[in-house]
Amino acid sequence: MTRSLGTRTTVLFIATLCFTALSGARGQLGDERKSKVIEFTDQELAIIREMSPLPPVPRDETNAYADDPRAARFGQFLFFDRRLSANESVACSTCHDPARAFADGKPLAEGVDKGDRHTLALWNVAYNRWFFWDGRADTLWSQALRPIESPSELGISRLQLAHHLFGDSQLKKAYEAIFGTLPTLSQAGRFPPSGRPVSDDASSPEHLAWAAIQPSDQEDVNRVFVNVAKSIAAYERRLISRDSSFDQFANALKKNDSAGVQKYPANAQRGLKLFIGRGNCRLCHSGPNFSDSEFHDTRLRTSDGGPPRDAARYLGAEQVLRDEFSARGAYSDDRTGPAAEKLEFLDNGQQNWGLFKTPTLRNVSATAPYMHHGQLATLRDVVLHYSFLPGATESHHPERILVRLNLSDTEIEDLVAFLESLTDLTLNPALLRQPESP
Amino acid sequence: MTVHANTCFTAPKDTAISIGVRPWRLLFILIVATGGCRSGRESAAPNQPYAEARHSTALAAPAGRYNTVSNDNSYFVTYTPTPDPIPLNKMFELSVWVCGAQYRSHPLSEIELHADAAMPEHDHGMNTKPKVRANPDGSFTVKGMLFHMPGRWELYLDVTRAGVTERAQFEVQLE
Repeated sequence: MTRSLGTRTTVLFIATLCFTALSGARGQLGDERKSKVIEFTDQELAIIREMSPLPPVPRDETNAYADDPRAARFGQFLFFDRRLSANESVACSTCHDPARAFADGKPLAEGVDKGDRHTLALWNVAYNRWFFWDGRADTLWSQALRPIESPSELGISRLQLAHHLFGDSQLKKAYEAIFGTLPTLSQAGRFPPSGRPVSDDASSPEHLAWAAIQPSDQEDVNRVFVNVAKSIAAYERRLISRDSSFDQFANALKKNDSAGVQKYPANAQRGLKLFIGRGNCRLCHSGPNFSDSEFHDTRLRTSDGGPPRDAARYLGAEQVLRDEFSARGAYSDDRTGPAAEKLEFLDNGQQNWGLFKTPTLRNVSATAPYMHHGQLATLRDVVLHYSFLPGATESHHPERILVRLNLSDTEIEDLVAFLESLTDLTLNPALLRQPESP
Repeated sequence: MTVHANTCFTAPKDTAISIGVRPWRLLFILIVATGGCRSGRESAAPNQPYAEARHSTALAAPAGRYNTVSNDNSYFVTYTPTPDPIPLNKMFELSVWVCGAQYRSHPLSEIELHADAAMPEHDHGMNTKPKVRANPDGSFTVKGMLFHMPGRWELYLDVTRAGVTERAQFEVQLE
């Protein structure tokens, strides 16, 4: 391997001081191990440099309002608005709770009904290539559309949403200041109180109501639906985590700041070395957002212990390819750019069955439980899974990335320490609550 | 993408060595080129299943290009990636020239090119399906390439002429 041929490190970390500080909590470590010098090769240092800092938030040309502060405020208001749900008790913030690091702390999501997957946290969601565990959305705004009409999440229809905006003078005023005049939703003959396309039940009342609307009126309602989602996306783009203790360590490395380097705990340094080396974690959790934004088989059973039943990426790829709200669709503000290009080259097939997206690891310590069904309660459980693959399903996918690592207890603790060092929950407090007005 | 010439030999860049790798990889490549690995020409022997070439083998690669001979010795296949070096987990393009293995002065016509890649140690390929466009100057542009994972990739450029396909295989180590 070329890795082993890199010039050995010029940077040595004398970790004794750090170990001394931690010795009370880590008394199980032998003295010999405590005093070891942590060494990174030039190749490892090059990899670390690519893991931090997080670059600026990428532009989203498909959303003309992505960086419009008025849209972001409007979206933030709606993000916390429980009136936008079937029982008026659920909002986006119910599952993406700022008090729980924009997750919910539950194995499976619970909106107006029980969901069938774990809630993904929203940190750095603007960096994603695909959205949802199965990647069935290709932009952040098209992701934000789905929970509104999902029967288990907010459970309303796009027509209900439009009526809600039209009937609330504050919301109507805010919307029209950004996007222009709302359709004349007071004309009940043209716009029934509720309706949406229901692809798997063409006989449902919601579908029939939607189908009865003139195409031009459908388009107007869709435009309102999309503008709401683009506003919510404009808010979610601001939920950024980029200044963890790992980032500070990486920055200190670049600056040859030995004092800064030594502030980073030795166990986290060892965990980092494992993460980018023998642990193989970086195969999928690569780059400064610690995700390849692609899809993999984690060989986990479902939360009830059964075999995998969720087609995941196989279905998600099929859905995104025929999604009218995709980056190349009529509601995108850039139908030919890089976001649309993703779809042009997307390859779907049986090999994608049961694959789930690699989530970011930034702030992962604050978003337990873990995995697509919330099967694993703690970070230690996650590392144990990847180390020993206990009860792992026979891989139904040709990919052979997961192999037993047989990590020692200390190595497991080190990896957990590294993952914990990716935490930065600092955010403008104004982003953590509903604004007083939209 | 700018195509500077319509020959398999003329370098599109004026850099002396542009091998798409970081400096630490030079050591590895030097080892390969000086006997650690078969050269591209040697590996193209008819009995070999595939011609194989690591970046910058002893096959007199023009600067900024990577080349090899196809598995049954019919084609001299050259490519340049954009950007170069190939980035991890970002879309990139290839410019490809296919010439006769013996007469390398002009790209061949009436051929089809198919591009794909895989990580043999992982038993998986790319998550994208690249598209190939034939250019008026005889070169090809491959769009939609994406190496989403670090490690050893094999790049396959398959040339079909009159119903017969030969493979030019390249190795790319992505860190």
